[in-house]
Amino acid sequence: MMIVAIVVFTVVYVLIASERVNRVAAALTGAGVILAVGVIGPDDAFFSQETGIDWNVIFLLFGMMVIVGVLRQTGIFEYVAIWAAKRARGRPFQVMALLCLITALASAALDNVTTVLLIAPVTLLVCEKIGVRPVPFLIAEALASNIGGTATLVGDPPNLIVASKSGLGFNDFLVNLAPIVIVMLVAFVALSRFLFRKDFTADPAQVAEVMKLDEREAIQDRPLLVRSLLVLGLVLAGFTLHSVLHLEPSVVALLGAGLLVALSGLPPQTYLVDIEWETLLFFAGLFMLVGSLVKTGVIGHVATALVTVTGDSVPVAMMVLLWGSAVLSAVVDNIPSLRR
Amino acid sequence: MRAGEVCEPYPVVTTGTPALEAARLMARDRLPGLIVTSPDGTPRAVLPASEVVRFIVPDYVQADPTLAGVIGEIAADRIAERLANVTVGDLLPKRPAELPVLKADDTLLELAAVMARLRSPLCAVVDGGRIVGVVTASRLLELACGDPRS
Repeated sequence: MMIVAIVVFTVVYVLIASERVNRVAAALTGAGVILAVGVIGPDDAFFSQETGIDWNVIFLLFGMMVIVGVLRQTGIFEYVAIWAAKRARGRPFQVMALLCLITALASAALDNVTTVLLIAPVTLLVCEKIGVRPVPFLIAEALASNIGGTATLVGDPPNLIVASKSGLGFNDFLVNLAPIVIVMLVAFVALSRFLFRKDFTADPAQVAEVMKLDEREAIQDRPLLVRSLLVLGLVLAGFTLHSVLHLEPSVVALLGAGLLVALSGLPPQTYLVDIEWETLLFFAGLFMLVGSLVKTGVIGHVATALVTVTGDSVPVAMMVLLWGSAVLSAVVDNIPSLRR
Repeated sequence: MRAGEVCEPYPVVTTGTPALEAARLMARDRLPGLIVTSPDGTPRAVLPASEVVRFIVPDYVQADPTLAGVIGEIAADRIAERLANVTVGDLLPKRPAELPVLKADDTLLELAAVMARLRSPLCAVVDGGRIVGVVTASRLLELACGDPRS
């Protein structure tokens, strides 16, 4: 069974890395195979904390996606981005710096992909008005999103998985990572000034066009905005008060999602559109695949081998894990890299 | 009734026609779309007016309709500027789509079936590879339902 688990996992991994097959199709087919041949059983896959789907991760992601789905109906992201571009008086570098800051902040609370999808259309609009190439701005935002997402437990799926397996809480991430993330963000923005220096030349006449944009028109539903921000604030408070409330982040996110849906009065199709079912299903498939490696002892053997290679040196083990994860994440989605 | 009997003369543009000129032609004659031909006169595509409208809406507004509101009235009135310096060929889908083309001896039902399947506001009628006329959706309905004035 160990050989079967390794073969199935490797094939799925290669298919995902090669991008020849949709990653959900690869992960779910792989999970189906290991269940069908009996490497793990339904109890292992669906109910075991050790080898099964981590429902805390799935429902935390789901809850936050619902919250974002409602929040984006309000137009708050567009409002803030245009307000920032006007505060920067349309000066390209200042616009980029502020958009990166907004992206990083939003990514710390929300999913990275969603954040960039929300900020990208506004960026295209602002860049068109200023008359500069949007590509450097979008690249900078993608990087800022990754940097910002690292700051919190809910900012990035890999953080969720690390938290779930290590028992680290929301505040552990915030206290240990947020200061580093702030330093990284400042360094990144400074570096962007140099990296994209050729793209910060704008026609002053066009820059004035940015000032004509009316960010207030972006707000679609003011009462909904107030309710959404209130619920988001409560959810973030719930995350940070974990030691007092003893509620798992997934429970807090689900409570917040339920409350916001109830308060919003929106029909389900408006916010369910934003649920990334592909991501959730991919995670579910991957959890089962990794569960098969855990049950058959492959992960245990890998861990033992790693200890043998690195000896008793914690710094060496850290470096091996760090660089190994970094190299793998460069060629394949960072979720399977980390899960392994 | 056969398509060849009911089709009407219709303006035709080529892929090289300036997009602005084609849009103005549609606007002036209130046309639902235009037949696009290759330079040799063979039908190449149908350009619905809705496709031209879609083109003048910036990509970022299509991705996020909220942004349509933040652009001021003066700038919004200039959206047709996007048609400058592009040709009809630039407005056509990159993937060649099936053409709403019928033979002159096809019936009204065949005409309606093609229009419905391809969701096209008009159909070109060809005879010997050359366009002999066009039937629009409104003309088809007039023929099928009868003219209330008559």
